[in-house]
Amino acid sequence: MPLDDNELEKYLREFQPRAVRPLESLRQTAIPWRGRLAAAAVVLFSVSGGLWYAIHKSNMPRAEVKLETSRGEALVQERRVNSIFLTKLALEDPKRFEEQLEVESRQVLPDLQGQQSTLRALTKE
Amino acid sequence: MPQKVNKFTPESVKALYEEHGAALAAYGCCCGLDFGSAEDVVQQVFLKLLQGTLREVKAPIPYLYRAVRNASSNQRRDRRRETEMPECEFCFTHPTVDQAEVISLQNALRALPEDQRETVFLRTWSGMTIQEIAETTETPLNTVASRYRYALEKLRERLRER
Repeated sequence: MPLDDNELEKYLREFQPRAVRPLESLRQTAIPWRGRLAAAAVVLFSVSGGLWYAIHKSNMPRAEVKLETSRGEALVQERRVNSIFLTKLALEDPKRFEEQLEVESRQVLPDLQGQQSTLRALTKE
Repeated sequence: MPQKVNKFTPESVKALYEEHGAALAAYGCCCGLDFGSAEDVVQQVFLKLLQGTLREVKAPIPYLYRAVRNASSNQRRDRRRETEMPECEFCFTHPTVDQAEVISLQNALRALPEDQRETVFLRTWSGMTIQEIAETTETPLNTVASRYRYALEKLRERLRER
C-alpha cells in the first residue's frame, strides 16, 4: 500500500474510470434550431399576415372611391355630350329636339305614365 | 490541463464528454448511484448543454462535477431503492489489481465528504492542479489543498484497512 502522497496519487491514477456509452447523438442540438425556426415562421407569418391585411384593407376603399369617381366622371362626360348634342339638335332640327327632350326627361324625372308610375300610385291613394 | 471553454458548442460539449464523461460517471457512482444511473445522469447533464440552455460557464469541468453531484442527489432522492450502487458493481477498472481492491477504492471514495471527493476527482481523474481547482471553484487555495490532503489521508487509511 502506498505510504506517501505522491505514491498514493500515482496509485489512484492507475485506476481508470469505466468507459461510458457514447453521448446520445447530437440530434438533440437540432431542438433549439427547431424552436428558433418555429419562432421565425410564426413571426414571418404574423408580419406577412399583417402586411397583407393592411394592404388589403387600405386598397378596398381606394378601389371603391376610384370606381365611384370613374362613374361620376362618365356621367358628367355623358351629360356634357348630351348638352352639346341637344344644343346642336335644337338649332338644326327643333322637332327631333322636342322628342329627344321627352326621352331625356323620362330618364331624369319620375315616371308618370307607366304601370308602376308615381302618378298612378298617388291616384290610388 | 483543464479545457478552457467559454461557450458551449456541440463540438466542445462532445470533446468534454469524451475527455471527462467516464470520470464523471465514476463520480456519480461515488455519489451513491449505480453505474447505469450515473451514466444516465452524465448523459442528461451533457444533453442539457447540447440543447443550448446554458451557453457560457466560467469553469466547465468543476461545473460538470457540481451538475452531476446535484443530479445524482436528486436521482437518489427520487428513486432511492433503485439507484443505490450494488457492492459488487464497478465504476473503475485496473489492469493488474484484483476486483476486491477496485471495490475497496470505490467504497473509500464514497465514504469521503462531498467536497473532498470532488477535489480528488478533479485532481486525479480530470487532471487539474490544486491551483486550477482553487481558481475555477473560487475557493481559497489553502482550503482546496487541505481538502485534498485530508482526502488522501482518509483514502490511505481506508485502503490500509482492507
